[in-house]
Amino acid sequence: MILSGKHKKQFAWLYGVCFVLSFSWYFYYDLLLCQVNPVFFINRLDITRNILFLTDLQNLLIQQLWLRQIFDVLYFVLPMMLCFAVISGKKGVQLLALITALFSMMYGVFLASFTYISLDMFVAWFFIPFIFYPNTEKGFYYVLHTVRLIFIMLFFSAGLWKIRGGGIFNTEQMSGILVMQHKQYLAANAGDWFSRFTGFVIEHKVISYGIYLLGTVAELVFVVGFFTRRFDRILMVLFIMFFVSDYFLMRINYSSWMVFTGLLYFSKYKLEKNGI
Amino acid sequence: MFLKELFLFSRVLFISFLSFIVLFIFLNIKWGIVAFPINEYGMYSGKLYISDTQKVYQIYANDTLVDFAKLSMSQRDKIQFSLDLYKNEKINNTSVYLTMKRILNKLLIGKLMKEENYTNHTDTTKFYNWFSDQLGNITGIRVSRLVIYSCNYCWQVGMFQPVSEPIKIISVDPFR
Repeated sequence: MILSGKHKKQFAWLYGVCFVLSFSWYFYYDLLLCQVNPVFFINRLDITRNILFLTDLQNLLIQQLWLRQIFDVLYFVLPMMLCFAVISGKKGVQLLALITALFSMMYGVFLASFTYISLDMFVAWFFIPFIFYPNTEKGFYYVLHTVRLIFIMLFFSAGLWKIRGGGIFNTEQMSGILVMQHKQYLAANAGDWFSRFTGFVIEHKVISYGIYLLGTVAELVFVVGFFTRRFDRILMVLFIMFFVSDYFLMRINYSSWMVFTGLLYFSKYKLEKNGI
Repeated sequence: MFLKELFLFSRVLFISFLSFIVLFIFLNIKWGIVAFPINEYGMYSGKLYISDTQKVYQIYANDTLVDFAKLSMSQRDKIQFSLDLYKNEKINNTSVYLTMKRILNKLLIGKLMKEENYTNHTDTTKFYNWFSDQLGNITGIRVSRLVIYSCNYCWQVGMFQPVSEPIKIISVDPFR
């Protein structure tokens, strides 16, 4: 199967749909900058964040509603414009892709400084626009595969961290995680099906540890993606299952990462010449 | 091999990719400081135990206990983490500022770091005004009196139960 411009447009559709879904979720839960209306920020040991803080935009965003409005509008409009430009074959895609990637990163850094949202949620919105940067099919192919390798490394590293942090060697790990994750909910003693289900999983450590182990194995098997693309479909299914389970059990919304599935889906297409 | 082809296609892309990988591995092995998008993607990798003591908030808005069971995960997180983050922001931001100043000094931009940019200019009244607004948006009540308790809970004999007396964190009335 040969890679063509049609696939780039299909990827742009996927990016657009995933972005709108993720944005809608933030909007629905009042998590956009305007809705959060922040009064303080949190700093982290992150070089990028601290370089951005040199501008003092964090304090300006706290003080100025108009700036937060501009940030929210740009955060939504830039990816939409990028999708439109790619799909309709307009000029200026390269510049737009660069601006979208950098702005999405900046937005993520500031939003994560004002809220409980993890910066990890924004990593896809930084990397994916680069895929649309090249204006040739060959360029699209190489950037797609470069970002694919980066994504595989991120996901695989999550598995390695579970070994390094010792979580995988602790049979109480998942029970402990669930207690911590749902503590406010469990303390409220809801008595509904979800609290009973969570309580059941917490109490049965074999089941809970089994879930944690499966999750870690799913992350670790991504290592095969460094050596071959033959199993990308399987990895894609594993990845989707991982995040659906994460949402169901942990109530963590990783919908923004769903756009990464495109990397595993389109990796099967080869270049017309010198394909690998 | 893909890397060889990438090198032949674009030296810039090849070098950027390799630099990213090297920096990613270096920062992850070093453990502590990151440089987004290079992060430590290791959520829930540290050991946690079922019997760990957990701090739970009990919030009374206009003398009515906020029922966390009726809220979504996102709303619960918003309430809980706002209190947690605000409580630690001073110590956290000062300590991060001092550490990052050393790091950015090595990158020759440390002198651009002004302490006032890295410090919050908010106070407790302003924070709890904002918090009561947020709580009001979530619960649909206009909060004019707010009382917050913190209580230690633990998973014991198949139940999540309190193991300490609630401690009053704040009681503010009225706000405006």
